[in-house]
Amino acid sequence: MISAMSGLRTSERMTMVGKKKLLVGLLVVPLLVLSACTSANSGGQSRTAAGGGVCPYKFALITHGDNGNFWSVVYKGAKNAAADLGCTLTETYGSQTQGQAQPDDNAENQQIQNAINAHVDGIAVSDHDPSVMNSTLAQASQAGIPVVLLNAGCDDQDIAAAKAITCVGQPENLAGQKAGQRFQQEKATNVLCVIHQSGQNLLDRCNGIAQALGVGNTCKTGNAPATGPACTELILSTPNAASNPQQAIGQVSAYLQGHAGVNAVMTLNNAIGQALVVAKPAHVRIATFDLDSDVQNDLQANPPTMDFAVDQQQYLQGYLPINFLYLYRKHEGNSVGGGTTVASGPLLVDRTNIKKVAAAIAAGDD
Amino acid sequence: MTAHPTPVAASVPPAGPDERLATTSRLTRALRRPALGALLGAVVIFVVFSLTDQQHLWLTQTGFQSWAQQASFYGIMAVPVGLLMIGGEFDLSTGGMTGFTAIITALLVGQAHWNAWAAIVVTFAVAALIGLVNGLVVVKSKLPSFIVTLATYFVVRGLSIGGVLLVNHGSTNVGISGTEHPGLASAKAVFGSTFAGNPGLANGYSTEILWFVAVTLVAVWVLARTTYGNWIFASGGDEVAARNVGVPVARTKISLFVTTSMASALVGVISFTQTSNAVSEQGVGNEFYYIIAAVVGGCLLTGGYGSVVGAALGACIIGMAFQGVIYSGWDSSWDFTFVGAILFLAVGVNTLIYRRATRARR
Repeated sequence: MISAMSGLRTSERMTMVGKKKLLVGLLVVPLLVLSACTSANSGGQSRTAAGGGVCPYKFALITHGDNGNFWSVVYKGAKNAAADLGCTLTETYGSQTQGQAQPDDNAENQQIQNAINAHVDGIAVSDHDPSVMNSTLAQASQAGIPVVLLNAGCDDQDIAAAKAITCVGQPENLAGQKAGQRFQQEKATNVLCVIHQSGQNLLDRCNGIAQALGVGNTCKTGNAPATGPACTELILSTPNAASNPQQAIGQVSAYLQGHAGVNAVMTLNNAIGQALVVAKPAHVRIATFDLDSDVQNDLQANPPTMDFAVDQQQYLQGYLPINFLYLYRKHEGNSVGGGTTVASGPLLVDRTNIKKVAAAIAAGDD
Repeated sequence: MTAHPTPVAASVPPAGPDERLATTSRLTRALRRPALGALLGAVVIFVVFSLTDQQHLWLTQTGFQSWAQQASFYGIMAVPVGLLMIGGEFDLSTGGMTGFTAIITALLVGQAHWNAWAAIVVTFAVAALIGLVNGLVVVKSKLPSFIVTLATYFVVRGLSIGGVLLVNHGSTNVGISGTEHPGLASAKAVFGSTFAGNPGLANGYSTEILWFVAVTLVAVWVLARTTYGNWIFASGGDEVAARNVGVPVARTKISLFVTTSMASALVGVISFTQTSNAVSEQGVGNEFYYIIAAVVGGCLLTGGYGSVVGAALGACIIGMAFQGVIYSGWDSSWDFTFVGAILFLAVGVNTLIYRRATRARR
């Protein structure tokens, strides 16, 4: 089970950049210089050391993400945790810089090396490319620096190979299973799982649905049967489906027109879920991974136009690792997680709990 | 012994009419038109899908609306991009611009609560300005437009991410807040609505399709019937020669960049009015599909040759490819392969026809 990529790839690619960073970015100044000037515009209110604790530790946060919708919440979680404990946090904004389509794993690996050289007291890191980063992270523990993974690298082999305490993230297969159980309860068991880009993490989600519905270990491709229970994958081929949801939905609508038996659609990206809600296909329940303001509105509509959403609660992916590092340092190697993943999600959000979750999102705590 | 042929006799061409006066058959002339290959390609693809369609929807209104809307999304841009390519330049900012312009309209309507029509006018004005900058920089600096517009692409992409986060409460997804949105309903009716709903197609056809047809017709008329159309061919064919005979090459090229930018704004406005929503990343990467549509339709990458109808047909081929693979019920994990094979088939048919026609000329 590999969940080597975060659940919210679109948001990861949405890079928030202040004017300053934009200018610098255009001049193609090396990454480290970039990271030095980004913390100035990170948006969240700065907490005073509310916990009042005396924390002599300096922790480093390194990710493959940017400071867009998704990752800004992770960073806020980590900063709040450091402030609550009174620790020092050095954040290195993600290896994915403005204009890049993909994160730069070698750059992130170098950032990890730099943190080791700087003798920080702990590293919270997204293990985005285990084949590159595990060995570097293992050097950290040899140097006596504890490591907690977050968001990516959340499987037991990678946790072991990186010699990390644990990983905080959403186990994708578990998230799929929870969604599948929900469909089961609602008796909407002929599920179409819409895959918008390649990645084992997305397949794991669909497979989880199939497992919960009791139709085997994997979600099938091809034609959906007339009646459920069934899980069928639809792999979209329109370009950049997540950023062009309307074109992607053209394919989903066409599929639903030809397969009237399908009664539930699971999208793995919030923008695509929202576009499907706008397209109003008949006789299907719509659910999606990840929340944004549109999805919140859909869940709150009367009647709800979206059945439920799967929230991976990325605030916890920032907040918990800092606490785990602190506990390890403060209390003689206390290790959370037993070498396996600590799940930050899934939290199924529907009309019954959306108000609470929306309030947390508005405060930037989800 | 036969008589020695005289040197003079040897150099005399075989009896026959002067080749410059030779008439070419109507068929050959038709085959030489750049759009014809694309038309045949499109027909072949259409027939293939009508045979492979498992859902019996391809030949219905449902199937037609489905691929025509997909085609319109690419076609509204492929046509002006085709014009620009005939004029000898590229615009790589088009994809990013469709997202950027959608974001501008969304912010003005959804967050600043402007009248939707005022927002749309401003959006088009901003797009025109960016196109003007693109054109001026390309013409004045003599840098390849490939590079100049790539830079523009990065700048607008940064603006639609960074700028949006600054003014939109840290979210890259701009929706509309509140209930009062003056002009939005009428703007939606014009840009992002549907028409001709009927028992066979409850939701009707997307208005986007009408825009695609309109843009194509205007472009066909401009290219075929106006002096400006000739200037486009001349500027792309041989810039120096064109200038020597008095074609205002710089002005022609700049206006073409303005046109592609404003077409991007049209797509941006259409997509915003369809969903009342805009996302920062929208449209990124689509610039290549616009260029692909134009090339599938017979526009040369080197400029000076091509057809607007061809570019529109190229967009239809792309639209049919994306929707046809779904109706055919092929395993969706192979869809990319099918789409690739179909595009190759279309271009193959196109090229074969064109080669035959031009060989016949010699």
